[in-house]
Amino acid sequence: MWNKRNTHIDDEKLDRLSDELFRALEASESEIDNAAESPFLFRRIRARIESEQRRLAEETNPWLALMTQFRQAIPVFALLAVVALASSLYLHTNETNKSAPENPALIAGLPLFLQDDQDALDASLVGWQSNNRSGQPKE
Amino acid sequence: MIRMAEKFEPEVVRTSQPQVRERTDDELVAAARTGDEAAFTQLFKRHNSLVSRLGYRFFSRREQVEEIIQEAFVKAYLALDSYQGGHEKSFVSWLARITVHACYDELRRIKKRSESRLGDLSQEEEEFLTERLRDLSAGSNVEGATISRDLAGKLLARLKPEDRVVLTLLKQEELSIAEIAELTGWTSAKVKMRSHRAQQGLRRVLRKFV
Repeated sequence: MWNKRNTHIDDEKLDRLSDELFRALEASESEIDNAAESPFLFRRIRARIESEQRRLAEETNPWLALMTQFRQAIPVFALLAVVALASSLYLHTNETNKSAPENPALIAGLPLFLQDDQDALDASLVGWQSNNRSGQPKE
Repeated sequence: MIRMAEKFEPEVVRTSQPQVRERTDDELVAAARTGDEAAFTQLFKRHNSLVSRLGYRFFSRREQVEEIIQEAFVKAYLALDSYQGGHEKSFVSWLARITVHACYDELRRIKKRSESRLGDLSQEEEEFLTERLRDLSAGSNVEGATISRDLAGKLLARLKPEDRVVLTLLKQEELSIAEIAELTGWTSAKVKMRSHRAQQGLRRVLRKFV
């Protein structure tokens, strides 16, 4: 039934309806003037022209484009420089600590806090060796 | 082309008092090319309502029309070197062409953005359309006109951008095929074919909802 009704709508009526829709879209003179004389509109146009000109100049001049990219990369380079400086300072401090005169009590490069444990280990090794010797089967 | 330019040109009330001769558009363009800011400002003041009027043919929201005005004048400024004057109305035709292209680009952008979210008409709007079709001879009241403007925007948004351009210029500006071809840069054959298809397309859209 819907299709039947659709076919009955003739093109002429639809065209008249579409004409009416187009007429309904028409703006009033005051609307046209208000948009045309909108405050700051011309200033916005000027700003867009300037940015567009800058973009076009950068596109045509490779050196200018390179300089702009370089300018954008400055913060990254600065950060890298700070990181490099900090790590070189840290390494330098470590080197200074290593080159300081060795503590005579330091055993075989072991850190100081492990020395007590090393003593205990030595003592236990001595004990184990003597036990082992006494516990050997007689030939 | 002159006739078309006259259509776009708003009526100017001329007084008989002697005035200082205003610079022509071509003179202003020549000055603007050399960097004369005032000349371009004058061109803008002289023709901004023409661009606004054309913008309102395609868009109903003021922000959209302002965007079109900006786009058209920026493009015009950057293309000043390619402008070839010679006639009193040359600049108007040239600017109208730039504006129609800006509108077409914007329609295509909108179509791409909103392809998937074209909502159906409300029950009220469908009823309104059916009612209008039933009695086209009835005079439209204020309420009807308000609904119709919103509705027209929704329905025309369903057309292809090029169909919309052709139909708008045909029905609203009442331009001929040759004038539309001149304005859009398309061939007359393309415009003729497009206008036929656009008409069919709009009928299809209306039939779907009525």
